[in-house]
Amino acid sequence: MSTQAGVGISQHHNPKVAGQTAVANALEQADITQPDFVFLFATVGYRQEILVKTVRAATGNAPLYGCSAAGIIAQGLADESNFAVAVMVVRSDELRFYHGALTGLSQSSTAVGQELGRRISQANGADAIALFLNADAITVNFDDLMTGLGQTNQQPLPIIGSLCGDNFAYQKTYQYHNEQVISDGISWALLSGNADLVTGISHGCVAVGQKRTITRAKGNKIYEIDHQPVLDVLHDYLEDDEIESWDRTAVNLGLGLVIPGLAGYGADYGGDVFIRCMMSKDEATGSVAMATNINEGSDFWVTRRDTEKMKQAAKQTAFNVLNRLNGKTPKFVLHIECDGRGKMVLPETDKQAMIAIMQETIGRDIPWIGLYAYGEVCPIKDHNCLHGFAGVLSVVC
Amino acid sequence: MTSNMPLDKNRSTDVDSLLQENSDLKRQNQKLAKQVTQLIKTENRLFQFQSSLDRQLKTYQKLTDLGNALNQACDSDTVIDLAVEFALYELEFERCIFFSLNADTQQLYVRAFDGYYDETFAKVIQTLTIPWADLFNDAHPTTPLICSAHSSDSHLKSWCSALGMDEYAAMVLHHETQSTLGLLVVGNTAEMWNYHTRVFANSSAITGLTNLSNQVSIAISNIRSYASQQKQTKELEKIVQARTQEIQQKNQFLKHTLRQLKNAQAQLIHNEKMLGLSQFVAGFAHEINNSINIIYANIDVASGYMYDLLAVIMSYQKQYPQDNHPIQRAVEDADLDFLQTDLPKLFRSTLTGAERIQNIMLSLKSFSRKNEAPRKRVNIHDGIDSALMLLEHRLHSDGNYPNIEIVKHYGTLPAVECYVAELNQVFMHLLNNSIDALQTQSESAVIPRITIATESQNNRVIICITDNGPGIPQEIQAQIFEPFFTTKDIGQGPGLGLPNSYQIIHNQHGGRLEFQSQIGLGTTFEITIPLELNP
Repeated sequence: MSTQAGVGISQHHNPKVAGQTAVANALEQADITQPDFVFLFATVGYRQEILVKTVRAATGNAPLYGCSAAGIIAQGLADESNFAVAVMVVRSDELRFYHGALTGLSQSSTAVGQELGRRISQANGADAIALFLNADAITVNFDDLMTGLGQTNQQPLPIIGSLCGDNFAYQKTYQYHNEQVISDGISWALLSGNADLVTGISHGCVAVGQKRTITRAKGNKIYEIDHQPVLDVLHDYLEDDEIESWDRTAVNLGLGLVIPGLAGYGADYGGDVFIRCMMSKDEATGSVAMATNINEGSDFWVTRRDTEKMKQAAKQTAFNVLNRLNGKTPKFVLHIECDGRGKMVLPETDKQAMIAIMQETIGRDIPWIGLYAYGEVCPIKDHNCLHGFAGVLSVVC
Repeated sequence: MTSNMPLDKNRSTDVDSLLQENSDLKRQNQKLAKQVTQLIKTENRLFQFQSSLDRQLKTYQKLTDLGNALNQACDSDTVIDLAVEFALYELEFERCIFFSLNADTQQLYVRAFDGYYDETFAKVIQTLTIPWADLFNDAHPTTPLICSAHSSDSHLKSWCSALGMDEYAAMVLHHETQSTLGLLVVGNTAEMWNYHTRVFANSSAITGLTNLSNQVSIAISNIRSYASQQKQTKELEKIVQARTQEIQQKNQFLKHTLRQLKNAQAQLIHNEKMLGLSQFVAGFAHEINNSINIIYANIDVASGYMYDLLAVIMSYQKQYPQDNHPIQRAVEDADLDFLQTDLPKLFRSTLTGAERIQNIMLSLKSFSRKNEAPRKRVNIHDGIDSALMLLEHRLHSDGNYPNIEIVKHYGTLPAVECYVAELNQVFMHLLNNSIDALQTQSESAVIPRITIATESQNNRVIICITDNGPGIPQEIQAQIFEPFFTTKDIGQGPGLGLPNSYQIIHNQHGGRLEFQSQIGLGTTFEITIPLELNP
């Protein structure tokens, strides 16, 4: 029983050349010619359909799962340019992937979640390990998605996932399923078989100022904070041009929400608050949209990243994961970083160093694929949660 | 009630104080909160400035790297490839096309392009040509063409489709002499421009593009200058090469002339010498022949006289048999019996000597051939034998040198038309040289031997004279046919034998004189001459 995995990357601007190069490198590292399953993450400078078709063709039409990202991660590399692609090929007689894609998040994230639950129920057996999930960051309501999923899938699963990125354009993100490239949807892969999953998560945010209260909200939209229009409140923290372009708003300012029942998770996560970022704003209605539902009366703190805390927490998370491996050899690592922990806040060398220390801790020779996302999904206390400004390490071993 | 008043008053004072304190704290808190928000704004700005500075620094670093790469580039194609790559990967435009200008047709044609194009459009771009006048009014435009997405210039917009760009900037690359080096066009499609550097007039991207164009212009100019210098250098090298060749040819001609002069001089000397020698030999032979004829005639007569005298003495001896008779005593004193047996032997021996002298004289005459026509059809073997006859005395041991064995492998040869005297001289020279060579190894255990082989092949005769002497050293083999070259002591020979032989065989007979020699094994001279001389 064995699993062979390999990761290849390319930064070529031509999607055909990039796809072929990344696959060739991945196959070479895995020392295989035909994979059973393919992970693909790419930034949005590429014509997505051409890239995905190229990767499919180069991998012998192996089942493919992936999404667009704000950047890609591999061993020794964290690239947030518009042109970077990472491919992981897997060949295994001990792991199985059951994968698919659905659209319609903007219409009803709940309905998508319900359909996802129905689909995975077919394969969600006793040896199910985890559900990998990518969702459109612009249109998803993560809470509704999870609610729908819970309604049709009775077997709880740890979910490792990301909200797909588009390099701070906040216009359109892409989910990959085989040769399909979709938006406003999810792509997913249910991992089953003879392996374990070890995860770790951390953020590096600190609360600033006074506690504030959401006084008017509906669904995932916030209208008022402390009885003031939410966009006016943002002006206290941001300049007009920053609010106008929004990309910096999304990565610079987070909301630290108190989630009842999840207090005391511990130092690994960094406190009792969940950090959420504001995905978009709507000038017409005077609202900002989150990726999860917001309850009126919720208390929160405006949060800022603390780079030192972020680096320390990342290092600690890697050590914690290593300890939880109990000596088992990782088959591969899926690493999801928030785009708010990349080039927007860290000088390039610091960013690379932060990624490097995690890789050195877990293992430099482990197949390692990752992405910079607009939101990170990782379970806390068996509860699948969406996080902001977080780094998630998931190790299949 | 009254008793409670101070307490209530005190309580009221405490509450007021606490409320005041609370109010102050709230104000301070709000003030701090405002300061925090200001700090957040400031921090955001700081991030933006830092990020902008980092990007600029990166761009300058990349430009410096590009400058170094361009300096190392040896040809325009490399420079253009580097420029296109820089425009895509560092300046981050989606597409880039480099046009060159055909000076004759004044058409811009695509020299290089990159960025993603589908295969069909790539083929179209490859063959795209644009008349210079359709883009520019001026022969030397100084400002770039900027066609942004919002441009209202219909002329600029009209090129978008052909270039495959919905916004573009075109930079003219000039040589310092103002000649156009090319046109660098960068731009984006509307579909992908969100993920690339946008085209705006007066933007930092256009500044970067201008820097790139300037660097590329300088690099191409330098390469052209270098190529021009190289061309001049090559032309100069060609002239020098031609002159050198001319001088070498003249030198060769002079050497040839000098060699001809030397040969002519040697030939002259030799001819004079041979003429004198021939005359001497002819005269000498004539005189000797006359003398020998007298000796021949006299011996014959003297022989008859001798037998007559012996008969007379016999008669006297019979007539006067007494022992004490004076005649008998004279017979005894003269040992007449011995005389009777020895005297005929003496005459025969004298006759043999005379015959030998006569043969030598015949050989000398044959060798000199003074009295014969210069061209004659002869038996080559006679000439070789004559030479051997003349050299007979050198073939026999004289105590210092052992006998030299002569081995003849004569083939069947037809009569050969040749200059007999000259050809005989060649045999003489070659045999003499072989004998000289063999006599330099007097202490060798090898029996000295000269092998003479002849054969006829394809209207030519080949004569090989081989000795088993010490061989000719490699370092002098190239010189042995040069006039006056000799390895012999002064007075032993002027070094004309082999050059003259070479002249005789090559020039007079149209043949070849070649040799092969191996140190310690010997030397073979091979003469090849035609059966018929050229008219």
